[in-house]
Amino acid sequence: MRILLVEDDQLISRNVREVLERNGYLVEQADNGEDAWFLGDTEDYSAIILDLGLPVMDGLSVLKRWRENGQRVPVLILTARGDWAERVEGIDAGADDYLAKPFQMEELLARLRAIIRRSSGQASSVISVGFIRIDTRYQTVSVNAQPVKLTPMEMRCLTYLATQDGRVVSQMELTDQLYAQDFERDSNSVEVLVGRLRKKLGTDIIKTKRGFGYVLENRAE
Amino acid sequence: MLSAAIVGVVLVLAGFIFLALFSQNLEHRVHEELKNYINQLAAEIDFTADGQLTPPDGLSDLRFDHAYSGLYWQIDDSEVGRQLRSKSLWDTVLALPDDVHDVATIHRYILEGPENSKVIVHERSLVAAAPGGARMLRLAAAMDQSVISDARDKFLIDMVPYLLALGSLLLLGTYLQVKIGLRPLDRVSIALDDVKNRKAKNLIGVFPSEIARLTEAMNDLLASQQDALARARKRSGDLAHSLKTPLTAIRSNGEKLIREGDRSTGQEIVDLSELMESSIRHELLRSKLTPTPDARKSDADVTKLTNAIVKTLKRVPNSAKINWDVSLPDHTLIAMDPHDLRELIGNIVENASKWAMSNVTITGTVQTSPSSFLFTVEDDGPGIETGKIISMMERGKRFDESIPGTGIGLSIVKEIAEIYSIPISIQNRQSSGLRFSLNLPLTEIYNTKAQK
Repeated sequence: MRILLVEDDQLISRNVREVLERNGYLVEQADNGEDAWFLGDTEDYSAIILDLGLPVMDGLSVLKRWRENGQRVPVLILTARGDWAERVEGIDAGADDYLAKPFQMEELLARLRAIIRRSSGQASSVISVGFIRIDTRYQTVSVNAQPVKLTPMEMRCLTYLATQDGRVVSQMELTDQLYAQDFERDSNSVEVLVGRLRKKLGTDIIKTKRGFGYVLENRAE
Repeated sequence: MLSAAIVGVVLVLAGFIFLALFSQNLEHRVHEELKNYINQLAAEIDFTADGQLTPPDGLSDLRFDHAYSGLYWQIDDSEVGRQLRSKSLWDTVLALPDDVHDVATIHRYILEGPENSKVIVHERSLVAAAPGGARMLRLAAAMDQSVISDARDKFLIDMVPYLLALGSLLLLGTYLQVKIGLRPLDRVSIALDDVKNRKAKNLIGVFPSEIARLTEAMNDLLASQQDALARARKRSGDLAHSLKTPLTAIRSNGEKLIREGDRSTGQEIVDLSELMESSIRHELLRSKLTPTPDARKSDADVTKLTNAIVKTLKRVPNSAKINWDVSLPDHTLIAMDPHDLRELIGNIVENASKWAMSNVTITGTVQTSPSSFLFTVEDDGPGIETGKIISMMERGKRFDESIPGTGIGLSIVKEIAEIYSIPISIQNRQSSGLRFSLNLPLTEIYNTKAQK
């Protein structure tokens, strides 16, 4: 899952980034409103964590511009004041949830998971696809009730595909969601990753649509 | 009333003084007149060749010639046993007292006069040169005392209407002076009410130069109060903000220690930083509250605010599963700052949504005795042990760690309720869940409308 973290406070952004990456997310950062606006409008993210108090352009203005441009990515706003006025303002501007600073990391992760789930139409933190059960909260996978150990990258890939509700995901899109920098990307990195997943899951539940991409089929909640 | 009483007392005193002056003046005139008659009598003293006194005929006042007219004269020639009297005395004799006094001094006294009247008598003794030798004569002139008393009574009767008229004029003048003269103070009072009701930030209007300094001083005071309040809030907010980031770092270090195996120290650091973060958040929220109800920026539309809060909660995943039943009358203005009412309702409603199984109901009705707006929030959650109800509004209190939250929301509700003196009732519902009831203060405008 590729997340955009927009926060100008270096300490907070460092801590949040560490926690997100530990929990299997790919994190990109912006520390001002203008950069955030650009990235949010042009790149694909599973979710955006947006601080409202930003330099150059404030968070609410950035959010409003995204929504005006038809950008529907789920957004979790971080409010400095913590009062209801800011929350109402943020939700009215198009945010999907809010969190007041200072916050607990567990709550940040829970709210992030919830808005991502909701945007992909899921009702709970557990996604079931055929005999596969993915617990996005605890980052565990089981097949026919047998736990399967996946690397963080494999987990990220499987979760992303599982939350696309049967939609075909192109190789490029999957690459964007899984890899941060161009130098990390290899033309067949995703192919290798998908191949490893198929081996571990013991099923060809990840289908290849030649010329289009990959899809997780037989999804059931 | 006080002015009328003072004017009345003053006029009565004035009446007495005027009357006394009039009487004194009249008495003086009477005495001068009698003294004059005595002198005339003395000048008219004459004797016949055989030594008999001749009646004086130079007294011009006709009253001396009319019986019991009130003006009399009498000459006693006691050495020869002869007495001369004015015709007005008729058959009455003035019984001059047998006393001795210096010649040529006037002796004054009151005697019994004709027809049981009292007369003022002026008497003088003189030695006259009679043909048979010098003789002591007593000359007396008298005036009925009723001349003075009648005149005094008439003066009093004539004076009363004028005193009443004067009193009325004085009262009217006082009334006009108060009404017109104090009008600028009425304008100041109206201007102060506008400040109090948040229609203006300072005293606005044209005031006379006499109270211009007063209004300027009041405006300066209002401005400095607002500045002081804003500065205090900013300082509090700045302090809390400045502590947030270092605390986040401390907490992260604690979590890092836990991950690295030093659970005990790490957890202690995390717990302490959570405690400090809770205090900071509480103080930050408190610093934004209106210090007193009168300092509020404006009144608040409770229905509009509640709908915005419910709309917000409907959007967020944590409370999106809730069925919301909101029943509130339109355009109900509450005498609270909108920020404070939003915090109050937001925290109570959010708390209900966290604990509810599936339903949250919000209702509001106008109460008339006493006037208030009864605002109720109910959830169908597990409710709470009766013994824990009081402590649930303590800062940091959380009865279920699995329910997200910091325990600050309800403590802020308590703070706001204390500022505005709002009674809060928390009860377990008969079915299940909790009921929060508050009596919110209605605005004066709403109260006036209700009375009409």
